[in-house]
Formats: sequence, structure tokens, C-alpha cells
Amino acid sequence: MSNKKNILELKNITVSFDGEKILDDISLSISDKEFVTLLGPSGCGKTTTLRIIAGFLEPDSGDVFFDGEIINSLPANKRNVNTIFQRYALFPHLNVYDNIAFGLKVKKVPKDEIKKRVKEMLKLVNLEGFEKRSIAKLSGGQQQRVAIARAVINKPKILLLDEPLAALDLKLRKDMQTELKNIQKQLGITFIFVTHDQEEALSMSDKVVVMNEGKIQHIGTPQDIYNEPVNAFVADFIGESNIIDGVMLDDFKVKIEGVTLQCLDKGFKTNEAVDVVIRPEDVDIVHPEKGLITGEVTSVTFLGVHFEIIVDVNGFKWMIQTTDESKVGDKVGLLIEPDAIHIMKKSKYSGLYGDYSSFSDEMDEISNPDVEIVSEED
Amino acid sequence: MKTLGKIINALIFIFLYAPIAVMIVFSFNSSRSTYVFEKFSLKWYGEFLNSTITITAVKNTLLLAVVSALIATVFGTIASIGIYNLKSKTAKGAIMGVTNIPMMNPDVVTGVSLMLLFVFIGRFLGLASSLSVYTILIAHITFNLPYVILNVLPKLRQVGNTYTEAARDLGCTYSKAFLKVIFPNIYSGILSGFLMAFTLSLDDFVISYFTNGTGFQTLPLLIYSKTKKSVKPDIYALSTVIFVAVLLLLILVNSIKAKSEKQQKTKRSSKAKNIVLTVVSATVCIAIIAYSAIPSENYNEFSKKLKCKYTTSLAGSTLNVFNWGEYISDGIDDTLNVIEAFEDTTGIQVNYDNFDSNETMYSKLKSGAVAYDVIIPSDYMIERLKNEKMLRKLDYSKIPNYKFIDKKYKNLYFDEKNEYSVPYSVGKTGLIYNSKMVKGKVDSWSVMWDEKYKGQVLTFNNSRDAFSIAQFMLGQDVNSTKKSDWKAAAQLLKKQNKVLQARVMDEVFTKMPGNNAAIAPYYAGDFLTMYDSNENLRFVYPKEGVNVFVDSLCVPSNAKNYEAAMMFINFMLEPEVALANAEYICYASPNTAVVNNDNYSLKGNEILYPKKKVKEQYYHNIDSKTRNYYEKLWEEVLLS
Repeated sequence: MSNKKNILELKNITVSFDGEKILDDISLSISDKEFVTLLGPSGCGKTTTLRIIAGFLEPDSGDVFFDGEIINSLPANKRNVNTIFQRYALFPHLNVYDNIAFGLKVKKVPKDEIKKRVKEMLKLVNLEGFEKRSIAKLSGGQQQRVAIARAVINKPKILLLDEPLAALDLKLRKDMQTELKNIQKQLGITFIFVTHDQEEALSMSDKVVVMNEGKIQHIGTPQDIYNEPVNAFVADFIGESNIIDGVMLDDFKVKIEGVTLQCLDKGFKTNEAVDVVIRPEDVDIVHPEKGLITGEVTSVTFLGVHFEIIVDVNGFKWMIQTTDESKVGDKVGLLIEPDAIHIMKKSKYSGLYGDYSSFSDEMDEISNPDVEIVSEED
Repeated sequence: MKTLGKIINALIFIFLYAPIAVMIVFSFNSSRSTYVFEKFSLKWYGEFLNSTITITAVKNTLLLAVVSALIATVFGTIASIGIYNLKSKTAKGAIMGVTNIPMMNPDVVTGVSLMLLFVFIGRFLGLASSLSVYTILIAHITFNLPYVILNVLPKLRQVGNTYTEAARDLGCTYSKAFLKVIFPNIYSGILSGFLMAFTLSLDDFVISYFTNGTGFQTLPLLIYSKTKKSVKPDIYALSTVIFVAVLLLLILVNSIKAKSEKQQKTKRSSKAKNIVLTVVSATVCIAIIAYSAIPSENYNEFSKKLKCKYTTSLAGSTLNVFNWGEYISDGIDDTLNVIEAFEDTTGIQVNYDNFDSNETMYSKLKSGAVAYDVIIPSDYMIERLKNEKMLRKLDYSKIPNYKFIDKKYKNLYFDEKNEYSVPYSVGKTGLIYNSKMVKGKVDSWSVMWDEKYKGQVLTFNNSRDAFSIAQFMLGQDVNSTKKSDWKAAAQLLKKQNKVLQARVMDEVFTKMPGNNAAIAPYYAGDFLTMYDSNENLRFVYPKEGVNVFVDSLCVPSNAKNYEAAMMFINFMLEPEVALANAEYICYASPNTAVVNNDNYSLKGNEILYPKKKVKEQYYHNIDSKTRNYYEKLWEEVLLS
């Protein structure tokens, strides 16, 4: 991996709109042929990052390098980068063929070659025979494929994908994930993929960039960010986590809820306050006497594969996924193995996440008049 | 509820289309009556097609509409893109607000303010006349712009920014992206903006009225100026043609739109759009070409009948004439087209404009925004213009035909030394009555107060003429400056209210011939027109006295082509020309060569040329204090 050259590099990029920082000192390197995903909730700056790479937006400060050259103010039409837009932005006045051929026609490629390459593309995206079809007569999935063909026909070095699967239904989305991954391998180009769906990010990417509030929170492989999240935000955003206040007594020894547990983490100061992450599937429910921690079941939801059980431990609500059924009101004991515990340093996100009184932040905010819920516009 | 809805729908439909249907039916009527359909005829269509004045107005209107709509569409589209791409929402809102205000503004405000601006700039640049064909064009572009923006901007919003970005992403520059992906998608908005601008420009009167210069009369301006005489059915015919043309255009555009929508699902729509564009421009072009291709007459025979020699030394120069609507022989029904004959004879190009009242003409002239070479005001207005030094002395040595003017129309009170004016046409008021409805001998205005005819009496709907009747009854001077006189006259008028059916002007042309009223005062010449459709009508000059008026040819002090003006005035006095005008206008002629001509169909007509002396009085220019006073009294009369 290390000998791969960086095709794209962002250095200290900052962007503000109307005095509000949208991107705050973003630095990121992307290697050739890599599948990178920008992951984060709406308003985190991932789409803005993509627009900077595409050339629709110039950063207020910082530099964009492409193949080692600064391209900050190179207009979009001169960049060797193509985009698949969120709602595809296919041209409604042109048919499938003309949409796909658009980029080549602009570049005045000879007609015969255009014909040949459009044919190849239609084959790549499995739309042979759709040449004359009008855009309005295509399904969402077909439009998606046309959008892919229209972009990759230009042989870009990097393909940018702005939530391309958001408009598709669940099953089609799964199929398209596999298909996109295959196309990427087949073409051997870099994909930069924007999504707010953590499952999508984990399943497709070589590298995931977790963003929030205009800042990069964590860069790593899917396994890294799931198993070793750097802070409460990442832990909560990637999968489900119980995040409990703890104190590091010593190496391999952490105290939560008045109980000292064995763990595999070390290198903290003695008695340092930490965030302790325990994934719901890593907790076993046992008889109260056998458990390290005890609590009372407050809710049980059957989800097919397992039960999702909320357990109240001294007012903190734990989520536990288990195949053993419990009843609301049961007193239960919780059993946690040392390798199920991940210790994180305290961050600004500490205390905000990891309690299952409600599932989303928004649910907490809905009844709070002091919080204005903003939805992302682009 | 359902049936009620249907009934209301039907009613709405009737209200919308019944007037048009009536107009179309009467455009085929062989007589000018608006209540009896005599027999089917295409006469009025022939009339307007033969009238160069009307045709020129149609041409002007179309040209103005096409050019102003095109320019407004181009600018409006560019402006819409600018507004759409504004980053700041406040600026966007502010600009949209500013753009929308002119649409809400009454036309009068827009028109007057534009005129003021043009006059101001004109004065600043030292132009003799600041209003011209360019100012009316600018005005039309100005009021069309918001409508184009209103049509294009929502389309841009609908299309959004992503198409531009997608096109740029695929290698297009900004402008190429606009042409290749934005334009095809906002095309329908641009087209409807253009059509809207076109129609608005087509029928604008108010703004055109204020911003128009000399020699570029549009159709609405022409029609509004035709109030000296009643509106003739040729206007119905013209309106019918316009209605049908607009209807066809709409049907065409709609059917093609529908077709292209259908096609869009299977095929490219750009072809359909090209068809729309071609059709629209072709329609416009054909209309313009058709109208410009009207053959002009040959005036060789005519020129032999002229009494004076006319040089072509001023050929190529322009003469601006300002006259009442329908107040010159215009070539309809094989009559003489006076303007064309003059142009043919002298090579001078005539710009001919119309006004509808002395006061309108006065304010246009006073504003200094226009410069006319010949105007035709009435007596009292000539006095006023002379007092305000707005007239230039005539060079009678260049008007040898002045010898034909009857001496009783020389040395009149408003031009005692014969320096400023040459009489053109003479009229008198009088009393019209229906002999089947009014019994006994009628010789006095007093019949208009007779309770026997309650609800059957009409009177003038203008203060001066209405007051004069009461003043004649009271034996006053119609130009009295004594308040008590006017007050007494007002008292008398109030007494008349209970027998009155209505106060009318043009409506008299339908009410009297239609037996809808028994008694009405009006102008002698117009009685002849009414008599043509109802032979039971009678006319009398009441013994108490009547108003007489003389409309005369004059030259404003800011005239630019004085020599041509002299030539034109002399030409108007040519026996052949004056005869044609007298026949057309139907008022008495002050020209002895006409009055004594055996070919004159109205020679010796008892009404126009009564043998018995009629007691008559001219209106004089009344000082503003008295005028304000009697106008106030007039309001009281109307309200009592």
C-alpha cells in the first residue's frame, strides 16, 4: 500500500459560507485506484469536500493537489475528474445515447469513436439496446447506470459519487453496491464516494473518512473505525455503541459503574477519566448473581435475528443485542469479556452519545426549544 | 352544486366570448348600424385594407411588438440568469421586488414617468423633439422585461444548477453549458415570455400614448383617436382579423407544444421546438410582408386637376401632421387618399398622427416632447395657442389657394388679421329628434326640458357643450365670465335631470337611429350619418342659438419643416382635395370651390349650408378661473 502514489491530496482546506465554517482545516491523501468513502451526517461537509475536488468550489485557504500539482482554481471542465450527482442530473432533453456521448461530443471526439465507446459503456452498465430511450422513461436504477456511463466514458482518473444510491430502494441499493465495486475494479480508477449510510461505507470502501462539523474525525479501514473508534462520535456513528464514563485505574484495568473490569487497553495515566465503548452484541445477559453489573430490563424489541434489549443500569440505558429473551422488569446481570471493551480518550463528544434513552440525537432535540434542527440543503 | 357550477361556467364563457361574437357578426354588416344586421358584406374588410393610415398603424404595431418583444426576451433571459445566480438571498429578493413593481404599477404611472425621463434627457441633449420611435421602443422593452423574467426565472429554478454543473463536469465552459443544457430546458419559458411580451406590446395604449413621438402611430393609438367621428365597423373588421390571427397562433403553438410533449417521451423534442420557432417567426414575417406589399395608387390623372404647381424641391424631407382621428379623406371606397396624393406629388414623406381632443393635442405640444409641422386645432384652442406664442405666422404668399376660403371664415375672432390659421372644416351644434316620437313643431332647445319626453332625452356628456344649451336658453353669452351666469345655467341644467335618459357622446350614433331616444343635441354633420340609417330623424337649428366651430390648419412655433407645411396647407385647399375631405368628413366646408362644385354630393344641403341665417356663437378660450368654476358646477349637475 505504501508505495502507491497519491493521486489526490487536500492540504488544510478551509471553506466558509456567510461566516460559518463548512470545512475546517481538512487534510486528506487519496491513493490511485483506491475506493475512499466520505462518511458523516448531513451538514458535516462531505459534499462540500467533493465539490472542491470536482472544481465547483474554490477553497478559502489550503491547497488541492492532483498528481502533485496544485489545481485550486482549475475550472471543473478542465479537471480529469467526473461526478455522479445525487439525483444524477441527466439531461432531460437528450436520450440515453446523447447523454452518455455528451462529454465526448464536447471534446470533439470523432463520431465513430464516440459510437464505439458509448456501446462499450452501455455494455459495462448492462443497458444495451437503450440508446434511443428518453430519460423520462427510465427507472431510478436505469438512470443511475446512465449516470455512471456518462461519467466514466470520459476516462477520468477519479470518479466522484455524491450519495449515488440514496434514491434507490434497499435491495437495489445492495445490488448497486456490488456493481459499483465491480466497475471500480474493472476500470481501475479512484472512487471517492460520499454517503451518510455507515453500512454502505463499511461494505464498499478501502478507506473510510468519518467527518463531522467540517472536521475529519477518523480516517481508517472499515475494521479500524469499527473496532477502534477514536472518539464517542465515531463510535456512535459507526454501528451501535454503549459509551460509558470510566476511569482507567491502571493498564488493563478500567472501572465503570463502580465495578473494575479487565480490558486490553493500556498507556493511560493512572485514574484518567475515559470513554468506554462496549458494542451491544458483546454483552451477555446472565443471572443477576453471575453478572458483573446488574440492571433492569426496560424494553425488549424482537428484530428477527436477535432481540434488542434496553437495560437500565443506575439510570444509564445500555443496549444489548442477544438471542436470549428477557422480559421487561426482569433484573439481569451483564457479562463483558475483556476483548469487548474499547477505551477512548475523552473528547468534546464525550457524554453526548452512547446512552439509549433514545436512538437518535434528533429525538432528544425535538422537544428542546433551544435547539434548532437544521437539515442540509445540498 | 354541480349544475350550479355548470351554469356559472357557461355564464363565464358567454361573458368572455359574447362581445367578440357580436363584434365579428357586425364586422360583416353592410351598414354601419350596430343594432340592425342589414345584409352580409365584406365592405368593412375592404375599407380597412384600403386605408393606408390603418395599414401603416398595423405595420407599426407589429414591428414594434416583434422588435420590443425580441429585445426584451434576450435581455430578460440574461437578467433572469443573473438574478438566479445571485448568492445573497436578500439581494435576490430585493431585485425580484424591484422587477415586479413595474407590473403592479398602473400604466399611467409607467407612461408618464418614462415620458418625463425622455423629455428630461432630450432637453439635456438639446434635442428639438425628445420623443421618437426609439422612445416608444424603449418604453415597450421596459414594460415587457418583467414579464419575460417572470416566465424565465421559474423555469431556471425548476431546472436548477445541477445541469450546469453536470455539463461543466463533462467538459463544457459556462456559456457552452448554458447553450447545450440550460437553454433547451428553459426554452418553453423563454417562448412564453416572448409571446406574452409580444401580445402586451401589441395592445398597449397608455404607455405608448405618453412615449410616442411623431409619425409612428400604433393601432391602439389610432383607434382611440377616432372619436371626432364614431368608431366605424372597419375597426370591427380589423379587430376580427387580429382576433382570428391570435387564435390561430395560439392553437398552433398549443398543438405543437402538445405534440412535442408526446414526442419527448419517445424522441428528441428539439425538432418540435424548431418548428414552433419557425412558425412564430414565419407568421410574423408573412404578416409584415403582406402588409408592406399594398400597391400604391397612380396619381397622374389626379395631378392634372391641381390648381397650383407643386415642386419636388423638398422631396425626401419629412412633414409631421397632427390631426383629429378620421378627419381626412383616406382612400376608402375609391375616394382620394389625400396623404398619399400629397406624398406622390411633392415627394415629401408625411408622418400622420391623430389626437382625440383639443386638450390632448395641447398637452402633447406643450410638453415640448414632439415637434409637428401642421396641426388642426379648433377656434378657441387657436386663440389659446396664439396667446401662448405657440403658433408661427403663415406665409400666405405660399398659400395661393387661400383665395378659395369663403370670406365669412376670414378675420375670425381668434385670428382677426389672418396671420396664423387657414380654415379646414366648419361645424355647428343642433337638435336632432325623431319625427315619429316627437309631435308638433320643434324649433327650440326647450323641448329638451319637456316632461312629455321624460326618459327619452339625451344630452352632451361634455361640460362646455351641455352648458351652452342652457346658456342659449337663458340668452347668455356662452363665453361669459360672470359667475352668476354660469350659476343660473347650472340651475337650469339641474332641472333637466329628471327628463334625461343619459349623457352621451358617440353612443348617440346607435341610440338615435335605433329609436332608443327621441331627442338629442349633436353636431350637424353627424346628423347626416345618422339619417342614413333612420329616415325618421329630423334636424333643427334652435332659435335661441347654436355653437359654431372652425377647425383650422396652423403651424406650431417649433415646426421643423415650415416650407413643406406651407405646401401641405396649400394642397389641402386644392378644390379636388378639399372636396374629397368635405365628402369624407361630412361637415361644412369653408372652401368656396367645394361649396359651389356641382360634383359635391352635399352641395346646397339644407343642414350643412342653411339658407336661413342661423343664430350662432363661437366658443372662446375661457380663463382658467371661470373654467374651474363651471367645471365645479358641472360636477354638481352630474351629482344632483
